[in-house]
Amino acid sequence: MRIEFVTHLNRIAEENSNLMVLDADCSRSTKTNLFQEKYPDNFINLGISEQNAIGVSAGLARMGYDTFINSFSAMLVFRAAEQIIQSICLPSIPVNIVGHYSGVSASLEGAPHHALFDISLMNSIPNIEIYVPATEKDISYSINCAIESTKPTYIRLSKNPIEQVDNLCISEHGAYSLHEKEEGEVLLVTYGQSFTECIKASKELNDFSITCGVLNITKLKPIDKQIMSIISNFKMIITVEEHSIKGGIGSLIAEMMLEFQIVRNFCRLGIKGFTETGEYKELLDKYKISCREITTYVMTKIPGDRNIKGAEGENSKIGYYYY
Amino acid sequence: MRNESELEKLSHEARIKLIKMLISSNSGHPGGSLSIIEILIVLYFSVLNINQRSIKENDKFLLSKGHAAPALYTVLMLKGIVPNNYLKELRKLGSPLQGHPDERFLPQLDFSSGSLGQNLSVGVGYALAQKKLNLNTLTYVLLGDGELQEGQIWEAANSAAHYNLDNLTVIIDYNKLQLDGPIQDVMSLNDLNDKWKSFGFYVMEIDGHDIKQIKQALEIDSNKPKCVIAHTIKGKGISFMEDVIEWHSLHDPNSKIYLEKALNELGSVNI
Repeated sequence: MRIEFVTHLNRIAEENSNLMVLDADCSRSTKTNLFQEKYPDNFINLGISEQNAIGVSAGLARMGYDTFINSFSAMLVFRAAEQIIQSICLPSIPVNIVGHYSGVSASLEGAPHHALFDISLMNSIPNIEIYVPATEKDISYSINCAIESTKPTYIRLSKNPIEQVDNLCISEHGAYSLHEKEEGEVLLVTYGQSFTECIKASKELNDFSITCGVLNITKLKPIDKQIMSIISNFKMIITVEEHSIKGGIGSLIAEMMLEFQIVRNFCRLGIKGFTETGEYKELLDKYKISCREITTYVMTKIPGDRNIKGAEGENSKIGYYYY
Repeated sequence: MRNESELEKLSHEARIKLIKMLISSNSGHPGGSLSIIEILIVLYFSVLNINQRSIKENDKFLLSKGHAAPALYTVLMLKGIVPNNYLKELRKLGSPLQGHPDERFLPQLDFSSGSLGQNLSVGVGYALAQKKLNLNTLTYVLLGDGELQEGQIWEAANSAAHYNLDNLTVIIDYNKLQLDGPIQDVMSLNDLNDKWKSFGFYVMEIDGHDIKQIKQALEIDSNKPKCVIAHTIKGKGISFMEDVIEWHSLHDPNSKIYLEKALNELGSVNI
């Protein structure tokens, strides 16, 4: 995901000399060093000083630069939370804050490097827009929107490469896209890296004759209220996110469903408490946001005895999925 | 360009306006506003180049110690940047003169402030941009002394020296008092001159109420970022406020009586 991000920035810089990319001593990790190599005059490293980096970004943006400040989201967002509020969001300076290694994607580094509360914070601050790309297309959409916007933005990226999974895109609106089914029993509402886990889970569930769609939300704030018409086409809504279960998309969708008086079965999947070191896939399993865990969870929530399409014998029942 | 006696006269006028403003709001920070009057007067009437066609091409001034907003508003009024009829609007709902400088309500400001420790970083951003855009303009950031206890200040100082921002000047209002008491009791700053010098700044120490010294310090050229340590007196100009910590902010219900007294001391009355 980092490579696709920087590749798109490089592409933009070919025509836009106004781009200013900043990093806080993470450029070899965030891959903004690949931007620096091509455009050294449009790159500034501020060392390990996130608070200062946010203030410097504000000054540069006020002088007209399309400014992207990059760092690990666990550190950038919270070390500099007050600077983001006071120096960026309050005066509404169009700085683009890019949080890398989000969720548990810095898996083996352990809890201090896992970013679990960034969406929650950003969602409560006025003026700032939030983008969480899941696909390469989402990345270019997010960067383009960030540059065009007159407001500050937060772009949340994962450390991991984008996993290519075949999926049936039903409709695409830039800010969000619907996949696999347009109506049915279950809708998984998700963003970012969890999207591919949800697509895989939805395929397995559809194999069990459980109609399951996936709503990928790229622009989380302000969220497009049109998604409510999609949500109302499903009987059960499950939010899935690599983020704290509180304050993320689960909370956001719950609020919206109440406001729009859409009454459905509703569950949230997300990370409870603090995390620990582990392989990325192990962590997704442990925090019950992997394809396997999503599928199992949905199975426990859907009443009735379902058959696996094309399977026979004792493995054909959903009980097969209780590991 | 005004001469020294004119600037001294303007400083006196600024103090009168400031006290009138505070009488009307009965809230705000007189002590740290009175200590920076001469610095602001010299900046706005003798140093800052702010008459360019585009805002981008103007020199930049950031008041990082945002609680001294009344002093800034007063000087902006004297300069004609803010209309005089706002004099009684300080801290009123919907007023351009918010409790702390807020560019949403007063777009003439170069930046908002209010949370200490943040504007030197913004100033570094401005100065970097001025250099990259070959603008040949300057950035000035006025810091409080207590504010230097914030870690972000030193991150910003580091980056200013690293990027050779010889177009950046930091001015420190060294009045030696902060909200909780004398700086040396709350959290000593030790040798400020040595500190800024070791961070890569060209350091000058001046009397922050001496117009001539302020002018000279701000006009000095150096190939390093500059730091002017301005020794000042909190509450300067009002006998019973000078060096008295209680006048850091207005919190006494009888403040108005004292402020009227202050106005008399300055040879004026509130009308």
